[in-house]
Amino acid sequence: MFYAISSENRLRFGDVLEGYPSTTPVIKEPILKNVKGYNIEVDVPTFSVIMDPCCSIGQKMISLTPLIKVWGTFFDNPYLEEDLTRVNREMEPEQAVSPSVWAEFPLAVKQERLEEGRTYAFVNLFVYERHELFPLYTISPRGRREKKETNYYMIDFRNIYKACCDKIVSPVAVVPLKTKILQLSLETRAELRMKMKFYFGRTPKEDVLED
Amino acid sequence: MNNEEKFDLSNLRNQGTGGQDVAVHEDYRVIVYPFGRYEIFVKVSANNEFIGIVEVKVNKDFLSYKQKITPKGFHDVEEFYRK
Repeated sequence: MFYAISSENRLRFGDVLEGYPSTTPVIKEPILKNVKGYNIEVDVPTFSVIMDPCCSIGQKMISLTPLIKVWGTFFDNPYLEEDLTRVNREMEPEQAVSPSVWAEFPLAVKQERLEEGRTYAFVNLFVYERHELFPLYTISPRGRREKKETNYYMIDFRNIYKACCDKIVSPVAVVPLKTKILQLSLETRAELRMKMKFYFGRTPKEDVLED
Repeated sequence: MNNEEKFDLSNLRNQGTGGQDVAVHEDYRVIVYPFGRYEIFVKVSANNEFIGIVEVKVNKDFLSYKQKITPKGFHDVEEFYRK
């Protein structure tokens, strides 16, 4: 079960909310001395997802990321097409690409990829299961793939932003629960936590000691 | 001042009694020496002279520093999904 059957009377990590605008500063170059101008793009995503650990939600501040449409190309991979939430979990190397792409890999590349074993792909993405509350949208046709409708959505950890709201306060009873749309099940929340941990916990290649 | 208050506690300790006598007088410390997969607990005197081996334990932290920072890879496949 991807979502909790009933939502708790408080905000939790991974909850789907509505009513929170997102902002993105856009600059041509870093502003070091003279302010040469900048843009701030404001968007009001239909839904946002809480990125704060449950016990850190409060103090009139919350970290969010917008719920965005999934890549249409996910549907080119039969393994993912069968269940797009497989993006959230570890998979075998052959499952991470479509069979046609895998078949075209040279033997050495296949071997190299097989040596990785079972691990994550799409490390910065987490797919949210379809739900009747989510609006349908169209996936454009491509190659052999026909046009199709879906209401799978996803989040990208690189889109996280901060929102300040007087209603986000402790104790939790004061939290604006009218904005809460869906809550993840315990298992799904654990999956989200594990994937974020993997994403932020990776050691850069430059920091790995050579033999 | 009664007789009990005249006792100097440190002197009393140094006098030693019975089976505790040796242990109380001995001035030593135990240092841990990593040796491969094992940890050797070595007893040395105040002058760092070897006295004996107290204990040998298996080091349960089997990961080396290199192993600890070696990242688990991921399937780098994004290029095959970008339009």
